[in-house]
Amino acid sequence: MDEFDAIVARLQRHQGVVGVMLVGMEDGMVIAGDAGPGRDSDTAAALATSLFRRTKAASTDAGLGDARFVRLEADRGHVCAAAKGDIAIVTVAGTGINLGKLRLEMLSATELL
Amino acid sequence: MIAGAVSAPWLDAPLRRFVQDSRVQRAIVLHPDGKVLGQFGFSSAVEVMTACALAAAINASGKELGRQLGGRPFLGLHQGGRKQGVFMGSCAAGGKECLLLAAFDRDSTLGLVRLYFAEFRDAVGDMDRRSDTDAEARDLESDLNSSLDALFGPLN
Repeated sequence: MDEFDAIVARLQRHQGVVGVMLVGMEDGMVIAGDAGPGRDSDTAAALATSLFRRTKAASTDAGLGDARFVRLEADRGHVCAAAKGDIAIVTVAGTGINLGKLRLEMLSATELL
Repeated sequence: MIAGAVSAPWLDAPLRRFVQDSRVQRAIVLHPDGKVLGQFGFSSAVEVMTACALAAAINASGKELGRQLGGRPFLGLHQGGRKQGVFMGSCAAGGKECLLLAAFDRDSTLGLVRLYFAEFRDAVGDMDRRSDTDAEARDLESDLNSSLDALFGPLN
């Protein structure tokens, strides 16, 4: 679990990130981290992985290949997900975040999984 | 749309919503003694009876195992397979314990099923007192009618 916690800690240091979770792609359950203060991590993890799985399926069905990174933009922030194998990295971030940098950091973090 | 049926009207909307939101293939709600209250996705009565009997047995075994191991009965159960998973959770409705058994494939996940089961549990829990009162009223009325029929014969 130390390596998972290290990935969570690394992404949490990114300015504007309020929550980081490693989630099982198969079961949608939290492996490490949390969605941030005042948020239900189990709910966020289940919904984010569901979104990611469906986006992957849609991408494949459309002939675009595998989806590597998904970003959901909402009124008060973003939910981003990237996955490798059976594990997804899900981050919850505020509106003022540098999304390009976060995307690169999340994709490089997936290589550590 | 998955076809289904309920014998308790108060269960229809919460169970329908659970099935739609969680994207499970099949779901069944029963009393711990195996009496079915509602189902979605089953194609025959034999399937429903089999599922109820097995769910009741699993629940009884799981509860006892929980007591033996931790002093408290388990409240939920999940079996994960390569292509299918099964989830069973306990909730209170109408003042009585109910079990929800759901089977799901790769269209859903345990996390989603747990999430929407919590909503289902809250929804039927909110109906606790009202459905209990309704049930008591119905029981009283049907008992009275049965008694009157026995004494005087059917009115029609």
